Amino acid sequence: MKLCGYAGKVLDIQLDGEKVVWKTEPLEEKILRRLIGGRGYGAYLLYRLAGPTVKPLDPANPVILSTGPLTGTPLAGSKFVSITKSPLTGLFLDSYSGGELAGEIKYAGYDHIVIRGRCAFPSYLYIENGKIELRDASHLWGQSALDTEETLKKELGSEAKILVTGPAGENLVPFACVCTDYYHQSGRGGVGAVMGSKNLKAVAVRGSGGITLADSAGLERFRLYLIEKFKKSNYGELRVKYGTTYTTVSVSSIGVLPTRNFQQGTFEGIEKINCFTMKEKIWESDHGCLGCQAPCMNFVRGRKGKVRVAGPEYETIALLGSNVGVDDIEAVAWFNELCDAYGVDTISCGNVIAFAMECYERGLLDQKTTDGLDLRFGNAEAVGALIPKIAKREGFGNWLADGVRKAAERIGKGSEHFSIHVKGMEIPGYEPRGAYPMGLAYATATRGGCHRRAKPVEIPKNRFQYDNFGYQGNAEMVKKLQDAREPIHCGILCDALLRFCFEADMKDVADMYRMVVGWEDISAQELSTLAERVYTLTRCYNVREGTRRKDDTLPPRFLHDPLPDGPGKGKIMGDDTLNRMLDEYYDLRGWDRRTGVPTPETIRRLDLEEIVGSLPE
Amino acid sequence: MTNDRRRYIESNPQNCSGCRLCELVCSTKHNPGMTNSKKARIRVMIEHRENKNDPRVCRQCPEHPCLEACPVEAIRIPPGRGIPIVEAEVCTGCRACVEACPGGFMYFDEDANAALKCDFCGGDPECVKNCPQNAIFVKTAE
Repeated sequence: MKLCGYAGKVLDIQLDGEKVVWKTEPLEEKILRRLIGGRGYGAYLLYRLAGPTVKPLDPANPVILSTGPLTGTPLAGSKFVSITKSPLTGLFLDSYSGGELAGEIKYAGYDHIVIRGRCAFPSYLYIENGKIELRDASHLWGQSALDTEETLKKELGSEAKILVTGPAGENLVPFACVCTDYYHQSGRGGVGAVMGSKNLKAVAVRGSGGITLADSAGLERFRLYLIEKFKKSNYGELRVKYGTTYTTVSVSSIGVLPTRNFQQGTFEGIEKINCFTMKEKIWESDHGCLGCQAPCMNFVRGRKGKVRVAGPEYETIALLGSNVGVDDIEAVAWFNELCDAYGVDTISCGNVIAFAMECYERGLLDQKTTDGLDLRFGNAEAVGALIPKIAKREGFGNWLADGVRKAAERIGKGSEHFSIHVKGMEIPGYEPRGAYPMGLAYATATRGGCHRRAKPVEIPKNRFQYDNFGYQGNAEMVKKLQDAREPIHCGILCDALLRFCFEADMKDVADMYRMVVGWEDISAQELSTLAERVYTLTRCYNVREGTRRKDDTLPPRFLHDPLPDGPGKGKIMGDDTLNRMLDEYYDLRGWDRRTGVPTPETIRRLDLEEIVGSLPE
Repeated sequence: MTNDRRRYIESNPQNCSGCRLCELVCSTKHNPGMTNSKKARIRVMIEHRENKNDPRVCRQCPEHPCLEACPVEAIRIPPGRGIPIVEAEVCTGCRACVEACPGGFMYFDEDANAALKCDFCGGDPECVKNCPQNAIFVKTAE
């Protein structure tokens, strides 16, 4: 049977100096339904292509742009995922992005685009259906991500969808992002640096083919059903009105808002940077990704029109607002635009600047080292000056440009106690001392300090039995929340839209696969197993790189220091709580308690034997 | 020309979020079993940095410059419809109509090598039904 939804091909590109060599391969039917697409199939490709001998910035490390069978269909917002070995963590990285590129990759006839090798000089890839060309990008090198895209759109026409890296990627900053449609990013983990290491400034895609649908009449009815669900949902309307920024309200009420490098969980200036202030002072209009009914992106203008950006999202407000002590929404929008232009992840960038500020306030750094910058918390001009210096590795910027883990190694003097990262990836906008399950989510996320696999903060007690300041029930909740996202991340649709606006359950997702692909017998149960399989596959990747139980931990500040404010005031999580959560978590996942390595029985149960082979102890 | 009052799709660009759902559902309506915004008869022109989203679709103007321009009579007004329709089988792909449309509202399907023009879905346009932002609506000319 011909499967609908899929384009059916992997485009395998090898950059070879001044030329490009490429071939296409059909999707492997034998494993297709076991991994579906997106994160699942992409993880398989990375597992096969980038073993322990491949370093993140080696030419052999691939950048894999993955879509799934649901991508580009009129069901919900479409996404693609950039998969590579992360230069920030050295581990598995999947970083998602909205915008329009996802659909275009499918229109061009591919489900996954794999890019390996290195160009002899700055170049960009032009992909139009079956035509693959390597083109000179010397006129774009050094340009901001925003300007690069604008120049390429002028050269190629507005129908080309473009992925670019900014100056930070060129300078191999390991938290450099890649941008598409100007304001959408695969933000985390340094995909931009991997592109930069290949001398690859951009990838432009244009396609004219379509995506087949197994049951388009059924899908039409299903869309109406989703729209009804959207109208009845609890968060749909808020999502459109405020986007992710609405999170500012909930996190400050429960005291988990990162403030001054995670020294506090509440911020006295929150009202000047929350969603209401954003809406009132700088908001201009909403913008949506391809096929999305709930446009959650806010286009804003600030600083007398000088700043224009789609954003800031909640994470940017938290990490480049409260976490650096800045209480001015227009300044946060400015930082956002700088990060987008220079091509750095706002979460990691906010962390590393906040870390430098704490070092400065504690006297571990002085103005001689910081190039004269007064790095006290709240100094917005200093933050704005540091972002370009980091991206360009200029002066003190270079101290911070390799992420917070490396910065703490360089500064020393006990600063590693408050270098806030897991496995090298800086922590996003949720203080785990006010929500212990979030600590487990950070410790067990495959890409490191990440909130996009599970975000167990403010979960209603009628959904899960858990202990916000203890351990009981937390492991089961975290695992279930992680697993809920996997089938959507294999799709790939927007998980936020599906969960908040459509309140979709696993059965709804199974229905989507049935109507798009034509898998008549796919069930919610099968997708639950898929979720476990994909989660364990990415764990196996990290295990092969050396990750063990000892690495599934949290920054010392989170484990040993009490939170000074908010509902979690005075609580200390401690090693014991984390260890109890981890024990239960490994048991639920079928990973060895002692090592954190998936057991042979688990590998067998999840049908992963032929993919992962035998794992080290 | 018929004496019927002219009905067409009008846009309110300020409301548009640029999601292109109109393009996706238009393409599926006219090509059952697939979706492809490159086959849509409505297109959203997006200027991200200027924050402009503009849904652009045929206004069903009474002058029919598209029909006049077609050298092979691939654009005709079927009896009782009152609006010109592109017959893809007859279209040779010369794009004269695309050039002739003063609003730039005609598009081209490279895959099928044929011009694309809004056919108003026989009276109940799919794009209008599906727009989450009410950025497009049916208008009756006075």
